[in-house]
Amino acid sequence: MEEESGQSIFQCYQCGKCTAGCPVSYAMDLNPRQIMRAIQLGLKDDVLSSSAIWVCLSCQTCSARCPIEIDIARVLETLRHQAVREKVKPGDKHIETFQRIFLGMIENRGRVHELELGLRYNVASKDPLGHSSLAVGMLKKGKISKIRPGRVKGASEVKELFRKVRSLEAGAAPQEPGEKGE
Amino acid sequence: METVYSYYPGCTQLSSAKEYDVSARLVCEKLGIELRELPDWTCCGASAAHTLDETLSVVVPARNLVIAEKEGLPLATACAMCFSRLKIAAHELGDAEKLDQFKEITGKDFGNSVEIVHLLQALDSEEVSYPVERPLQGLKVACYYGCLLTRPRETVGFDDEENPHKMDSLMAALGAEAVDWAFKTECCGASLPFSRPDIVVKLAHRILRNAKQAGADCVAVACPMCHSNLDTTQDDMKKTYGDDFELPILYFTQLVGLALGYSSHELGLEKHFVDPRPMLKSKELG
Amino acid sequence: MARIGVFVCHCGTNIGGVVDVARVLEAAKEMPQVVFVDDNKYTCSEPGQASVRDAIVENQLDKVVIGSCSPRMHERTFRNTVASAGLNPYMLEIANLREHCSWVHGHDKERATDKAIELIRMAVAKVNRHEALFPKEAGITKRALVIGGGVAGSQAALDIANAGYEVVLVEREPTIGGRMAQLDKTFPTLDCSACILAPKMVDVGQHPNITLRTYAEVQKVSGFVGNFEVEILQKAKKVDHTKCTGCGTCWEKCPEKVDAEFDLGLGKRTAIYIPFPQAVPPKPVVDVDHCRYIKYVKFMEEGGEGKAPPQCRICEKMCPSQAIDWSQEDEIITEKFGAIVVATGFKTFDHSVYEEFGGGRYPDVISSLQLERLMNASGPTGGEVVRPSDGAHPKTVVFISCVGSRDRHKQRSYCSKVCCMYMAKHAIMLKEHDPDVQCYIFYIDIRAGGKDFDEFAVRAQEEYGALYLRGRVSKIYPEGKKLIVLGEDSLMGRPVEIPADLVVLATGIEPSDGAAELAQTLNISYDTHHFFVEAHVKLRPVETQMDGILLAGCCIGPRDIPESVAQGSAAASKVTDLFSQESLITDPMVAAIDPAKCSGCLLCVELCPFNAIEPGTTRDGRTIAVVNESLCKGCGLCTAGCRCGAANLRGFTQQQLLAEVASLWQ
Repeated sequence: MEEESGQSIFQCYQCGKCTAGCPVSYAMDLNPRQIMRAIQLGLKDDVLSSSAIWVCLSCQTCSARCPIEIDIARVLETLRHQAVREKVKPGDKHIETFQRIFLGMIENRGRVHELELGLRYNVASKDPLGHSSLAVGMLKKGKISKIRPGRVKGASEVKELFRKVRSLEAGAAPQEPGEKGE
Repeated sequence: METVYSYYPGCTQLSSAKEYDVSARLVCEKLGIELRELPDWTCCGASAAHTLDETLSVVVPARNLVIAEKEGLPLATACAMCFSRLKIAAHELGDAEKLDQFKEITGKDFGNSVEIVHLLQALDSEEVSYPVERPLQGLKVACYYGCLLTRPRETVGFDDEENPHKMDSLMAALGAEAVDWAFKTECCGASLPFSRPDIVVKLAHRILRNAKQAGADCVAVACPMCHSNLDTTQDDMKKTYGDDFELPILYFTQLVGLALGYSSHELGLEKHFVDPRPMLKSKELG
Repeated sequence: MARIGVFVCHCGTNIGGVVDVARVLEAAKEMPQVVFVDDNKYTCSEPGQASVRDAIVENQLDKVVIGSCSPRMHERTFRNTVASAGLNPYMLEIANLREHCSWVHGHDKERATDKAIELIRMAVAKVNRHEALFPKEAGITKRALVIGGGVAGSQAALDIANAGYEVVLVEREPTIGGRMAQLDKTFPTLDCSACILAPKMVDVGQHPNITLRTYAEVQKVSGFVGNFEVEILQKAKKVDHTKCTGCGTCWEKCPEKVDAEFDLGLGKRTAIYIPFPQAVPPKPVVDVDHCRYIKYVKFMEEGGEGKAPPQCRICEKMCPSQAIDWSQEDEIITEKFGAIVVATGFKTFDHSVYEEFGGGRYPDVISSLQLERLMNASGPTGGEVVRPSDGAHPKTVVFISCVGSRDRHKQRSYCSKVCCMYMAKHAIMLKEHDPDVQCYIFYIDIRAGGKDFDEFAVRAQEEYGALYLRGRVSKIYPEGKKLIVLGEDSLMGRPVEIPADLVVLATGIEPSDGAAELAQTLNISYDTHHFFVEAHVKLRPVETQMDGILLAGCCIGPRDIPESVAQGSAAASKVTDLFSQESLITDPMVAAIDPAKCSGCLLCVELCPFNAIEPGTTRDGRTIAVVNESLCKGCGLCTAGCRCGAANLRGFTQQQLLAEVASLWQ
C-alpha cells in the first residue's frame, strides 16, 4: 500500500487530526485514523470492505493538516480503486451505485445530463420518487435545459477511450491477494 | 492580463448551473475578456472517474487538455470540480511514464503544456481593473471557496489552504465587505446529494450556520456543486435542524455582474432556490 | 636512520579473530626502517603497555607504530606509553586495524589481513617522517562572561562567582529572570516560580564578584579560550542607576501605555518601566521607541510638519533623585574574558501559523505562557483567569498539546518535552482557581519522565477531574460566545466536539530570537532549528566545539528547570576547571606557515573556519600569514589551499601524507 499510494503509512503515529477534521468521519465505520492503523496491521479485508473509502469526499482536509504530511485522501482513494479492482462488495451501496451510473453516462454520452442521471439512480436504488422535490424545483426554475440530452461529437471518442483503458487493465497481470505489504 | 481564454464550461453549466455560465460570460464581456468555448469538449470525469478508476480519472479530463493544447490558449473553467480534475490530470501526466501511456491510449501527441486557471484566477482583482457602476455598499459576503480550489496545495492551490483571500479581495474591490468566518474551505458534501443527502444537509448546515453567525447577508461561491448543496438544501435544513437561514447563495460572477451594472434578471438571480432579490432590494442593490 | 618498532594488537579476538597477526608481523619485518616487531593480546592493558615500553628501551626504538583500535579510543593512552619510555609522545602512529579493518571485513579474513598489512605499511611510511612536537602554553584571563540571565545563566554566574572569579552577566532584557520569571507555579511541586527564583536573582544582583549588565547585548567576540575579547553593546537606559532608588514614581506617573512584552500582549506597561515587580535590577529603563519626550525630540530634530507632539518629561519632573538622564547614549564596552557561558534560553512557538486554530485572531485562543500570566497574581488580570475577549470566568477550558511540536508540516518535528507536564499543572491550577471549571486535555502521548512526574499527571486526572482525550484537534471555530473545538478521542474511535470558553495551546519551545546571529558571532554550531549544538550529545552536553565556550539551558534544546539549573552548574564547573590551571596547554598538531615560502596572498586567512590566521609582517616589511596556534584546530584547510606550499599541518604534513600514499606502491 505504501508503494501504490506513494505515502509513508508507517510514519503515522495515530494522532487523530485527520479524523478530527474530516467532515464525514462521523458517517464512517472506520474513521481515517483507523484506516491508517488497519493498513499498518495488514487488515486488508476490513479496510477494503469499509464504508469509509466510499464516503470519503476527497476534500483533502486530512491531507492538508496531517503533521507528518501524509496524503491520507490519496491513501483512501488508492484503497477504493483496489476494492473496485478486486470486486469487493462496496461499503456504501448508494454511493457506489451513483458513481457507477454517472461513469456509465460519461462513457456513453460524453457529457452528463442531470435529470437522466437522477432518474437512472432512482431506478437503480429502487426509489423512483426520490429527490422529487429537488427535481421539481429545478424544473420550475428552468435549470434543466432539455428533457432529452443531445448528442455530442466527442462522445464516440470518449467511448473509445473507455474501451481502450478497460482492455489495458484487463490485459495487465492480475494482482495476487496479499501482495506487497498492504 | 490575459484577454483570451479557451473556456471549459463543464456539464452543469448547461443545466443546473446555467446562471453561473450566463453571468460569467456577461462579466467577461464587459471586462474585455474573451471566452472561446472549447470545441467538442466532454465531461471532466467529475467525482465518478476518480472514485472508480485511477487511469480513467486522468484520461477522461485530459482528453480536453489535448484539444486545449491545440487551441494554444490558456484554459479557463468556472467549475471548481472541473478545475480540480483538469489540474490533477495535468499534474499526474507530469510523470513521463504516465504521459507515454496516455499518448498510447489516445493515439494523440500531447505535450502537457496547457495552463489551466479557474475563473477566480482569471478575474483576480489584482490583475483586472473593475469599472464598478454599482458599488456593493453595505453588502456582507461570506466568501465560500469550497474544498477543491485550494487543495491539494502543490497541485492546485493558488491561495492559502485554510484561509484564502482572492475572492475576499475581489469582493472588497467591488465595494462589498467580505466577512471573516471559519468555514471558507470546509467541504459542502461534494457529490453526495443523490446518494447521501443526509450528509450534505449536515455539512451545508454547519457552513451556513457559521456564515450567518459571522453576519453574512449572502454567501458567494465558485462551484456549481457547492451552490446546489448550499442553495437547494435550506428547506431540508429547516426540517432537520429547525434553522431557517434564508441565506441567498450567489455565484461570485453574479456579484461581479451586479457591481458592473447588470440587472438581477440578466444574471439569472431568480433561478436560485433561495431568492436573493428581496435581500438585494433592501440594500438598494437591484 | 630511524629505528621503527611495530606492535600489532589482537584486541582479544576483535582483530586477532579476523586478521592473521603472524602474517602481518612477518610482512612488517620487511618494511623499511623497521627493526622490531611484536604482537600483544591487549596492548592497552597494564602489561601490554609495559611490554611496549620495555621494547622501546631495550631496542633503542625512536619511532613507534601500533596496529590497534581507532585512535579515538587510545591515542592518548599510547602517547603516554611512548612518552613513559622517554620518547616524544608524537613519535607515534596508530594503524586502525579494528574499525577500519577487522570489524568491517570480518567475512573475508584473507583480504582483511592483506589490508592490515597495507595499513601498517602506510603507518610506517608516515611515522618515519614524524618530528618531535612540543605543546605551547598560553595565559588565561580568569574572568567569565555569561550571556543570558535566565535561571541557567544565573546559576552559572553564581557558581563561578562563588568559586572566587569575576563574572560579567549580560542580559538583553531590562531584567534578569528569563522565562521562569513569567511562570506562575512550577511542576511537580507547585512552588511559586517567582518565589524560588527571586532569591537567586537577588544574589546575582548583589554578589560582589558579579557585574550585572542588563539591557545589553554581545556584539562581537574575538580571541580564543582563556583570551577572549568581547564587545558589549550597553543600550542607553536613560536612567542613572547609581542615583535611582527604584521608588516607582516614574512608572506610576508615565502616561504612555504600551503592550507589555512580559505579559505577551495581554496587558500594558508604561514607556519607562520595569518588566515585573521583582525585577533585578529593580530600576527602570526608558523604551525609546515609545517615550513621548523622545518622540518630541525626534520631531524637532527632523523638522516635522504640523503641531509638535507633547514634551511630557513627567518622569524627570517627578523623580525625587533626579535620576533621569536623557544624555545617555548606547555605548560599546570592550572586555576580556577567559571563558563564555551561553544561556540564552527560549521563546514559545507563534501559533498564528495554524489557520485552523484561528490564525491568532481569536482572543480566547491563547498560548500556555499567556495562561501563566493570567494565573499569576502580578499578571495583567491580578491572577484572575478570565477570557481575554469579555473578562468572563471560563467554565470549560480545552488544552491542546503539541502545537508547533511533533509537526513536520510546520518544520518542527521535535518534542518540546515540558508541555505534557505543564498542561497537567494548568489543569490542577485552574481547578484550584475555580472548583467549577472543567478541563479537557487533548494529548497524543503523556511524556512524564522525571521524578514524581507521572504521579503528578495522574493526580491531575484523579484529584482534579481533568479529562484526557487522546487525539489531535483539527479545527477551532467561534460560535456565539463559545469556541467549538473539533477533535477525536482515538481510544474510543469517535470524533469529539467541545464548546469551550477558553482554549489553551501548548506551544512548543524554540530558541530565542537572534540565536543564529549569536552563534555566528561566537563561531559555534547550531542546528536547523537554531538550537546550539553540544560537543557530544551524550558525553559533553554543556560544551561546544569551541574550547572555552560553554552552553546551558534551553538554548541547547527543550528541557525543564532542574535540568537547566544543573547545566548552569555544569558549565560553571567547566569554567572553574579551566581557571584553576595556571596556563593553557595548546595542542601542537596545528598549522605552521613557513615565512620563507609564504607569498602573502592571504588566501588561508579567508579559508580558515576558526579565524585562526591573521596577516603579519616580516622584519623586512613583507606581508605574510601567521597562525594563532591557540585558535587553530588543525583542520588542514589552509594546508590544502596554500598555493606556495608554505602552510603545513604538524602531525599531518604534506610529506607525511604523500609518504603514506607512495608506500602503497612498494
